[in-house]
Amino acid sequence: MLPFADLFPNLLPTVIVALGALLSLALEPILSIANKHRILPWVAFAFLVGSAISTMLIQPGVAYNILAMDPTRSMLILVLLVCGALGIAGLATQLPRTDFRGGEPYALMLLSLTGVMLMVQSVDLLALFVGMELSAIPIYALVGLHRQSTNANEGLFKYFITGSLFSAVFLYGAALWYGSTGSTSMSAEVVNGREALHLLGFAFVVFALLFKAGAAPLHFWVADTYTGASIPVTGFMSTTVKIGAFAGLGAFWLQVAAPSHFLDLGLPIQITGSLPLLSLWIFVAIGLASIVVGAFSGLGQTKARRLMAFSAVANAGYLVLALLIPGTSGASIGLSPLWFYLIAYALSSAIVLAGLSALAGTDEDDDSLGMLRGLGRQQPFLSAAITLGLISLAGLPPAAGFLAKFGILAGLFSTGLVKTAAVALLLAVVSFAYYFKIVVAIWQAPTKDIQPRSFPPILGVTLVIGVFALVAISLMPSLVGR
Amino acid sequence: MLHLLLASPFIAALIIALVPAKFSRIAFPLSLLLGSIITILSFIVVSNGASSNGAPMATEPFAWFHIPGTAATVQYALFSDGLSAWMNVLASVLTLSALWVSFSSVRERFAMFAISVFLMQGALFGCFLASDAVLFFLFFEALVPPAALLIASFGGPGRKRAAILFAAFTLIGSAPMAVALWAIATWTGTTDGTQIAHAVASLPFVKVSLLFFAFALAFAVKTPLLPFHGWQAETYSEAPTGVTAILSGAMAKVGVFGFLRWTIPLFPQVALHYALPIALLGVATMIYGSLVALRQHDIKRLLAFSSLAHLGLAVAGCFTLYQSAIDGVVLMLIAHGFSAGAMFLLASLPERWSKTCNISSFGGMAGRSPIFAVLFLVTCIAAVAVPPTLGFVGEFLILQGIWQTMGPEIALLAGLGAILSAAYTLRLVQAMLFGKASNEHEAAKEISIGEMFAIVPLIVALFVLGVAPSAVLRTIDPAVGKNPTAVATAYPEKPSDATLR
Repeated sequence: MLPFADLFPNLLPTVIVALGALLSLALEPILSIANKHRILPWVAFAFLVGSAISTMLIQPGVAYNILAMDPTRSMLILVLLVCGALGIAGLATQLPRTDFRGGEPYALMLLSLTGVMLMVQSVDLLALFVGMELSAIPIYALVGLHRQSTNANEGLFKYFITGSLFSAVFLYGAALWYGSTGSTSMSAEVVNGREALHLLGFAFVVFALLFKAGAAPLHFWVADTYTGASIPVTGFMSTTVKIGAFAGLGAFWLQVAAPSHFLDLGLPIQITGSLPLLSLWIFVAIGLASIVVGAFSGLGQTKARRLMAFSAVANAGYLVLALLIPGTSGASIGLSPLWFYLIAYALSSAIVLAGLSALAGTDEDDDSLGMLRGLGRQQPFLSAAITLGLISLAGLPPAAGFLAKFGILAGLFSTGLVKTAAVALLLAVVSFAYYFKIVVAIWQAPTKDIQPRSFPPILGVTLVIGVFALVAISLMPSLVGR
Repeated sequence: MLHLLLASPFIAALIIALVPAKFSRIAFPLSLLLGSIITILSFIVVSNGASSNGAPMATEPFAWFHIPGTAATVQYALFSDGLSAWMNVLASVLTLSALWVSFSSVRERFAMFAISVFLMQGALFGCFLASDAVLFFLFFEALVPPAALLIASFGGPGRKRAAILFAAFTLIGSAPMAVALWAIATWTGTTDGTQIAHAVASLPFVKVSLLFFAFALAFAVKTPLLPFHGWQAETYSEAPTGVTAILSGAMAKVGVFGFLRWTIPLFPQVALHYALPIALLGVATMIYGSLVALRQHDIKRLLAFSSLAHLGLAVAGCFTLYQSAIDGVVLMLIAHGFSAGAMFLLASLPERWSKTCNISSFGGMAGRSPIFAVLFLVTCIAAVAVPPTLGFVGEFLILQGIWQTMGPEIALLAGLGAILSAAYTLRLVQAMLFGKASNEHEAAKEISIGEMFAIVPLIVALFVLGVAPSAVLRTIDPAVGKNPTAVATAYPEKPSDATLR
C-alpha cells in the first residue's frame, strides 16, 4: 500500500484531465461564440497532453485497496488520452458546422474521460461504479446534443434507460458481493457457506460490465445509440467506454482468480480463487454470439456509423473470448492478448470515426456510403488514415489488428477451444466484407459534385498522433508489454 | 541488404504519398525511378547469391512477438536463396512494367495506383523472403488489401464483384493456414521455418496431414488449382491490365512458391504420401484450363485460363519431388512470369485502342500495326514454350520428371496439355493478327516507344535465359541443395518410382 505522497503521481493524469474539464467549463462563458470552437478544443488538448506527460511519473502499486497502477494500466490510460483527443478534435470539426452555440461538449468529454480513467484504475467495486457513472452521465448528454434530431432522442432514450437499468444491476451485484465477502473490494474472499450468493454477485457485476462493452445479447442499444450520436461522439464512446468496461472486467477477473494480491494486469497469474473461471462456457457463448451478430448484422448496413456499431459488437466478442486464454503454465490466466486487442481496436476505431467526422454536418446521412464517395480524391491523407484503421479492424496485416486477432485466436487454440477459434476466424472474414465496403466507397469516383470538405488543424494533429500510435504498436507489439 | 530490399517498396509508396498534389505530374517519372532502383536492388541480391556459390543470404533473427499460451516466439528474419531472389526479380520487373504501361489509363489517379502497386510489391517481397511461418503468413495476407483495392477502384465494369470474389476466395482459403499456424505454435513451440520440419516429424501422421492440407489449401487457392479457380478468370479480366500482369506474373507464383518453400519441405512424409493425387490434380488443372481457354472470346479471360493451365503443370512438377523437375518448375515460374506479364501488357494495347477485349472484333493487325504484331507473335511463341525460350527448358524438365516418377501415361497427358496450349495460343494469334480487318478497328495505331521499353525487356529476357538457362540454374541449384528449409532436405532418400506409383 502506498502512502499518500506516492498516491499523488498515480492520480495525477486523472486529476489533470478533471482540471482541464473544469477550466474549459470556466472559460466557456467568457469566450465569444466564434472563438469557442477555436480555443476550447486546444485548451482541452493541452490538458490531455499534460496528462500524457504525467503518466511518466506513475509508479506501480495500489493505494488504499481502491486504485491501482501498473504498466498495462498506464498504457491503457495513454490510449484513452489519444482516443479522447481524437474525440475532441472530431467535436471541434463537427460542432461549428451545426451552428452549435455552446462550448460545453468539450468539458463533458473530458469529464467522461476522467470517469473512464478511474474505471481503469479501480480495484474496488464502488470505485468502479463511481467511475462508470462519471463516464456515463456526460455521454448521455453528448448523445443527445442535437435535441431536434429524432435519431438523437431515440438513441439517448435507449441508452439512458438501459444504462440506468444496468447500473442498478451492477449495484445489486456489488451488494451481493459485499454480502458474501464482507467487503466491496474485488479481491475479497468468499465467506464460508455463501458461495451461491458470491457467484450471483459475480455474474451481475460481469453482466453489467458486458452491457457497457456492448457484447451480445446485451448489445441491443448499440446500433441505435451510435447512430443517434454524432460521429465524433460515437467514436469517443465506442472506444473509451469499451476500454473502461474491459479494464474493469479484466481487473475483476484477475482479482477473482487470485484474491488478495496486488495484480499487474499484464502478467499471467496462477488461479487460486474459488470460481472456476476457465470452465465458464457461457463466455464462449457470449463471445461467439457477439461475433455472429456483429458480422452478419453489419453486412446489410449502408451507414458508416451503423457499420461501426456492429463492428463494435463483433470486437467485443473477440475481447470476451480473450478472457479465456490461459497463461503459459497450467491453471493460470494471462490477459495480455486482451489488452493488445483492446488497444489496437480502440486506436483503429477512434481513427476511423474521427476521420469520418470530417464529413459530419447537420445532415443525418452524412456518413452513408454514397456520401463517402470521392473522399479519397479530395482528402487523400485523411482517407489513408481511415483506410489504415479499417484494415486494422478487419484484422489484416500489416496493421496491429492482424497480430491482435492472431494472438487471441492462437491463444484460444492452445486453450483447447479449437472449434471456437476456427469459427471466430471465419466470421472475421465475413466482417471483412463490410469494412471493405467503406474502403471502396472512399476511394471510388464521386457520382455527383461533392462540396469541399475541410477540417480544422486539430483534427490533422490528433489523427497524426493516432496513426503514429497505431503504426508503432503494429511494428513493435512489445510496446504494449507482451 | 535483404532488409533494404524488403523496405524499399514501402519507402517508395511513402515517397509517392508525400508528393504534394500540386506536383502530381512528377509522380509518374518518380515512380518509374523508384521502381527501377528496386529492380536494381533485386538484381544485386540475385548476383550476390550467384557469386557466393549460391549460399543463401539470411539476416539475424529478431524476436518480434510472443504467441500467447505457447512457447513460440515469432521472429523477424529474412532468408533468400536463388529461388527467392529470382522471384523478387520477377516481382520488381513486372511492377516496373505495369507502372509504365498503366500510366495512360489511370492518369489522374496515378499516385494512388502507384502507392497500391508498391504496397503489393512489398508484400510479395515479404512472402518470398520471410523465413518465419507467421511472418510469411502476415505478408501472404497483406497481399490481399492492396490487390483488392486496385481491382475495385481501377477495374472494369464488374470490378466490385471481382474484388469481393478475389478477397473472399483468398481470405477463406488461407484461414485454415492460420489455424495450422496456431496448431504448430501450440504443438511444437516454434514457428521458425528451419525448425518446424524437425518438430512436426514426431507428431502423429493424421495431425501432420491436417497441417499439410491446411497449408496446401491456401496455396491451391492462390495458384489456383482446379476446384479453387473460381475467382481467377473474373479477377484477371476485370482488374486493370497492369495489375493483372502482376497478379498472374508474380502473385500466382506465391502459390507455387508456397508449395516449394513451405508445404513440401515442412511436411515431406505427407507430401510423399499424397504426391500422386496432387500431381494428378495439377495435370487435370492444366488440361481443363487449356480446354476452357480454347473456347474463350475475351483476350483477358483466355490469358487467365492459360495461366491456370501453366501453373497447374508447375504444381504437378513440384509434386514429382524430383530434383531436376523442381529446377524445371523454377525455370517455368520465371518464364511464365515474364511471358504472362508481357502477354497481358500487350493485350492491354488493342483493348485501349478499340475499347473491347473481344477477340472476334480484331483481325488483320499484322498489316496495320506491324511492330505490335511482331512483339505479340514472339511473346506467344515464348508462351507456348517453343525452343529456344526459357519456357521450353522448364516444361521439358518437368515433363521428363513426371515421366520418370509417375510413368509415361501421366507424362503423355501432360504433354497433351502442352499441345492444347499451342492450339489456343495459335488460334489467338490467327484471330488477332491475320485475317480480315474488322470495322471497329478503323484507325491503325501502333505501340509507342515508351510501351516498347516496358515490354521488350521481358521478351528479351525469355530468349536470353532460354539459350542460357544455366544463368538461372547456377543460382538455384546449389541454393536449393544447401538451403536448410528447401527441397533437398525434404527428401532424405530420393523417392523411388515404386513409392510414387
